[in-house]
Amino acid sequence: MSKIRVKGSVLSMGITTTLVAVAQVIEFGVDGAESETFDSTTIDTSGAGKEYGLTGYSEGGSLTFGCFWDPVLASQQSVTDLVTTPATSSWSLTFADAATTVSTFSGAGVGFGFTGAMNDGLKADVSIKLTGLFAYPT
Amino acid sequence: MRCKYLIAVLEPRPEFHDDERLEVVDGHHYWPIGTVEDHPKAYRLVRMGIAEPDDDECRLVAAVSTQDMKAAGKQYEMVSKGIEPDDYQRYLDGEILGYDTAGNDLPGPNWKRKEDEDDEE
Repeated sequence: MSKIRVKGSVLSMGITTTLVAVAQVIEFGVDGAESETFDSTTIDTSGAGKEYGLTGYSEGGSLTFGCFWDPVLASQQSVTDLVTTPATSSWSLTFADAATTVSTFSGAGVGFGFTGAMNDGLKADVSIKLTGLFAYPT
Repeated sequence: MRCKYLIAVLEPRPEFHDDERLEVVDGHHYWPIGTVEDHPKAYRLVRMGIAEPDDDECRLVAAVSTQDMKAAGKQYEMVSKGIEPDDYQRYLDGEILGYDTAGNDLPGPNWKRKEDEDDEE
C-alpha cells in the first residue's frame, strides 16, 4: 500500500505506430467509466427500492488532460491532427509507482480547446473519448 | 517515409510484444535504437529528436538541423522520464537522473541537493 505521487508520471500517445510522451502536461484524469445498468424494477418488485441489472457492457469514459500549449511542438500537433483528421488513437499512462505501471487505452473521438489569458501561459484542454476500456491493472 | 530510432521507445501494448524484435528491460518492452519505421508521420519523430530521417522524403519534410534534432531529443528524454520543468537544468547538468518512487531526487554524477544550491545563493 502506498500513496503514489503524480510527479514523474508520463502520458504518451501513438504518433506513428509507437507511443511517445506528450510534453508540457499539467494535469490528467479519467472519468465517466462505469458498468452499464438497466432499470429492472417491475410492478411486483417487493419494497420501495428500485432495482437495476447489469447489461454486461461497460462505458470506458474519457481521459482528459491539460497542458501548456505549444502550437509547433510535434507531440502536441499530433493531438490536433485528431481533430483535423479523425482517427482512432493509441495512448498510455505511465504511473510513478515502484513498478512503473503502464496502462494503455484507445481513443475514438477527441475534444480540444485552448485559452490565453494575460496573467497565464497559453494552455489547452484535451479530452479523449475511450473506445473499449482503460487497461486498469489487476 | 522512413525514420530510424535514436532512442529506445517503450511499447506497453501487449499485442506488439514480440521478443525477437523488442528489447525487454525490467519487464518492459522497448523498440530498440536503430528500429526503422515506415510511416506517413515519421517526420514528427524526427522533429521530436526520437528518430533520424532514413530517406530523403523524411529529411525534406522534417526540415530540422542535426543540432535542433539533438536538442529536441534531449528535451524528449526529460519528458519521457517525467522530469519536472523546474529540474530540467539540474538534469542537463548531471545533478539528477530522475526521481525515486517517493518523488525524491535520484542523484546523478554531479549531484547537489536543491537546498545546498539555495544556501549558495
